[in-house]
Amino acid sequence: MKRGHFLRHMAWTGLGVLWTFDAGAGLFRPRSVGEAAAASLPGLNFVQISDSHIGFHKPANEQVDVTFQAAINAINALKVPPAFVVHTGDLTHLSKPAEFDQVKQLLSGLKVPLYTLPGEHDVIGDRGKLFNDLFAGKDRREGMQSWDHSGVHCVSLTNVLDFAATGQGQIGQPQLDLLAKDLAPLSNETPVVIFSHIPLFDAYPKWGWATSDAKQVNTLLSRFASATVLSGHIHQVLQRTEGRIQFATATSTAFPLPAPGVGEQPSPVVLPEKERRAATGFRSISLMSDRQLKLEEHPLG
Amino acid sequence: MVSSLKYLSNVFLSLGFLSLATATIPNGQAAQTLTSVNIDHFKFMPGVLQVHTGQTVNFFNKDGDPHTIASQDGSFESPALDTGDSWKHTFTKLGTYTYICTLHPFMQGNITVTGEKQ
Repeated sequence: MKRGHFLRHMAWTGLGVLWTFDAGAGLFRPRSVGEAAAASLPGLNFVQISDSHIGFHKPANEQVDVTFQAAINAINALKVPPAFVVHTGDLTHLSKPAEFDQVKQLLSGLKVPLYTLPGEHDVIGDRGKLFNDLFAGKDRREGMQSWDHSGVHCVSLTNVLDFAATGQGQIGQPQLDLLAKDLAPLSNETPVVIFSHIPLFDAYPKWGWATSDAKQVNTLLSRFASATVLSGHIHQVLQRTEGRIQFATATSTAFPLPAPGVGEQPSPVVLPEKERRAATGFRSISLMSDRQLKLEEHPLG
Repeated sequence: MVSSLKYLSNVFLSLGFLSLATATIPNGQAAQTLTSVNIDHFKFMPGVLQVHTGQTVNFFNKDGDPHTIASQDGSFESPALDTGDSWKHTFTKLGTYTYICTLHPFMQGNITVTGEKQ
């Protein structure tokens, strides 16, 4: 892709800007950090990190371990420690044992609890056996794991093991049934956060940046006053709202991918180091006591 | 002319039955002609291929990105092929196999396995 296109794209995704969700208008709005500080008290703070691709050695980033370590250091240095970190998949580049060893070692440097879910790069050739051996959440069933923190219900889903004929990710009926059971006891007032690797909205179906059975998740979420879906996979920030459900994808710690449909294929974008650092990073999320959602992007540059 | 065509079609029918009968037996004596599928620019080329039973297909990744080859019916799956890697698979059963790249599942190819080469 042309660099100009990419930079224009970066301008509208607003990396480095704090976003808040205006429930009344149904829109994400950018605002300065100063404005945000005056807002209501946080109920839950956590961090999303994604697409570290440990094992990748190509011009888009020759040192993905170094940039991943930089992200971990920055998370450990946050003024308000997050309650936990969620890695939304593609920990490794090619599911190789040495890559898993290295990413596990790097992640062990995090000072707060870690939750993970697999990306399609973590399940090559073994349907995720090695990933599960190393990162199994004790409660993960059918690819799903859920936990509660500060009154917020969190669920991580797996949508990278099977693919619809269209090439889109798939959650599968057994996992959807489990999700329905998991959400059933919750009151409509409980804030819910869902994590997935492939987005659960149509980011760009032609490149497989969508999940074929995501609508069933949306149906289950529609009754909640606060529902947030955070995903990875596309190495860039995209935000969408459908009804009261707020969707956002995250940047990678390794390299950016093109904006949807820019160029012929979703190949890593090669940028000068300074620009690459600005286009990669992690995100902190605050769910405020009044249910307001805040997403803050932390570029590595 | 009509009768010779009829004769030919009978021959083909017989050959077809013969192939069906032996299709599931791996045949070491059959000509192991190597056929290639190249992967480049997020495409399998050729995307549609016909081979005979016992034939080996060599998948070669010329692309800058890694890819895999995985049949939709689960009968074969390659490891990750990075740039310059190749992987071979020998087709021993008749049928049409649709395969995808599990890293980029919008990439699809088809291989039809017909009877043995005579």
